[in-house]
Amino acid sequence: MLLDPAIRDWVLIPIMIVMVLVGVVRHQVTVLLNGTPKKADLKSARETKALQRCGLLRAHGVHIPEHAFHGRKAFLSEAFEKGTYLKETNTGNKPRGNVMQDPAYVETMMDGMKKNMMNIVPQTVIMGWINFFFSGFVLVKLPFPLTVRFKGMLQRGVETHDMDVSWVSSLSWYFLNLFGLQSVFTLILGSGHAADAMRDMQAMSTMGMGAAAGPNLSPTGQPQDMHKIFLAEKENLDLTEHEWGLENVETRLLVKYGKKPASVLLDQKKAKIAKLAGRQATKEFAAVAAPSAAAANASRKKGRRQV
Amino acid sequence: MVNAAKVLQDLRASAERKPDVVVRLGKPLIDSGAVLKLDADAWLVYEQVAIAALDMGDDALALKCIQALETKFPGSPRVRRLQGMQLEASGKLAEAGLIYKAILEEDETNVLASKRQVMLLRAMGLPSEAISALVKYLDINYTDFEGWLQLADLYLDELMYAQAAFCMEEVLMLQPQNHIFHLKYAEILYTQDNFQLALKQFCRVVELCRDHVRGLYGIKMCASRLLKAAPSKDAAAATSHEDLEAMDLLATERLIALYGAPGAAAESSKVAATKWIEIQ
Amino acid sequence: MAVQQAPNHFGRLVCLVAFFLFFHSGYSTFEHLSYLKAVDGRESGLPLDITIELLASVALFGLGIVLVADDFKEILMETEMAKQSIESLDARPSFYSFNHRGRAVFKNVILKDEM
Repeated sequence: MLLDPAIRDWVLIPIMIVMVLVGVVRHQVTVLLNGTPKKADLKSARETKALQRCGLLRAHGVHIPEHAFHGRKAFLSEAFEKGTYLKETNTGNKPRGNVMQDPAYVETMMDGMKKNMMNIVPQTVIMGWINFFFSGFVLVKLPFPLTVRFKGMLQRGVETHDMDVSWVSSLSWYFLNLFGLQSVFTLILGSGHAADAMRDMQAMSTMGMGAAAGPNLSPTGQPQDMHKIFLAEKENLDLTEHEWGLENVETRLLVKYGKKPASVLLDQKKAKIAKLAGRQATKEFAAVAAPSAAAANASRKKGRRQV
Repeated sequence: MVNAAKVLQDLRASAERKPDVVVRLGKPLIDSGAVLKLDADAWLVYEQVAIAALDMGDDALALKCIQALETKFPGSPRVRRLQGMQLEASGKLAEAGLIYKAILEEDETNVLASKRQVMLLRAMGLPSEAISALVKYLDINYTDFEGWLQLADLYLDELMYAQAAFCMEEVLMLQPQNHIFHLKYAEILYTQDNFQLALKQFCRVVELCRDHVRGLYGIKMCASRLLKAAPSKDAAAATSHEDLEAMDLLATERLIALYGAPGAAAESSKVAATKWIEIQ
Repeated sequence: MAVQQAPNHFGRLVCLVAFFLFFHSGYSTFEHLSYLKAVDGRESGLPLDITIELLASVALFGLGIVLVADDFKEILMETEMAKQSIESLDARPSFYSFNHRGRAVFKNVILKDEM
């Protein structure tokens, strides 16, 4: 099947050019709308850093000696429990009240809404334009075959029965461009342009809420309770055992220089596992024995008090 | 000219403090106006040469660079901090302090200004205030390993080794693969007479960077001290006697081999080093 | 750390030639297809010379890219770290202090141009 070359000249290329230009304009308008980047808040930065600190301790704690690790663990557990790192020290349970009145939350909502508008408006306009002017004919042939199910979607406006599904209408060309031109935009506008990850965000988040922008918003848009997060982190920290990476560094070094065979390391590992298993067994035995002993103690104490 | 720009770029990347090289290469660039041909890099070169000029006492060149930056980026906090640095270098510490305070009033998270304030306090001869200011900064910006290094340095100046060791531990958590930080930590531990732990740290240094001479020296000295000392009560955690001897032997062997490598050291230094190593 | 290497002119030339061959083979294909459409011929496979030209351009591209690419860096972090000195790692450029004697010593010194 042959297509009129006029279609290529007057539809294919103009649609692409228009989309590129609209993309550039949208990027500039987004930059204008956003204005100067928000000033960072000292306290919220501190909050997030505190969480990072805990994460670092858990991840890299193996590199520092035991006394250092335990000291920090104790300090951080206490700090998280008391809430020394929280942005606003809420005494007791401050009722969340009307979420809309929290200024930071409103601001992040507005930001998200603005971004969404900047995406939705040009999309709708261009789709309308294409449907109005460029409907009723097929535009391109996709290089891969498709099943019949796609016919209704990709050939809207050209209801034929037998035409190959690879021939698609201009609207599908628009969608192809929508996703394909992102790399072109990155080339022209540098990374971080307005269309960048917004596609996925749009697809995933609900339309009403702003996309997660502020540090206090979870993806669902509700302001998160930092205190709960801190407590969760504290529990994680409490569970972390300290395994010092330098326990057998001398042996490792000797193996590295070939003074000792590498099998020595394997033996050491086996010995350590055996020791841990032995310790575990005795611990379990002690755990079983302890409650009965503790119960006996408690009843004895109670008896004394009653007297 | 291309060569000079490349050298300056390399120095920016490696962050070494070589003000003589920078000024010698940068001054003709700036005087002749050729620096503007570097486009985006030109402003980085201006900043680099300004700081180097302050190190060399060439205030005229520094002021010239700062002026050029001011014309291009008026009111930028980064340029203002350079002006503060210039005032610091000329000895006008109070005025420098005012500039930094003004920058922090506008933007309290400005990292550069907070750091300069710390060094200002040190220049004023108030080390304890400098330490408390830096501790406050690090409370907020926990992940800044440069700050932790500086705090360790400040503590070492005051001979507060335990606190310096704490700072180095933080640095180690942030950059665990860097052997130089392990080395610094090991040397602080050695100074505190904690030979057991220091030995392990020195071993780590050599493990991360094979044949690191300073690390090998550390192993040698720790191992020999531990071998001569009485066996400690904490026998479980201590390195076994045979391991100590093996480390001692290894360190001696590697050091002599490294010094003996052709072209590594002059014959006299080799002889002196070998003699010294043997008697440790 | 990004040290620029001297541009390998021969490699670039090879890449350029390969690109021209590639472009030419693509254009030849297009022309061939238009010719087939004009004479209503069947869509037989591409003529042999276009295929050879394409394969030659691929081979030349391979050669050119290998020549143009920078030297490999070591995989082990150890070798990279070994090259770094204490001066660079312990530098702390934001924390420079200027009340040192260097200012007085070098104040009126003209540096000799020796590398």
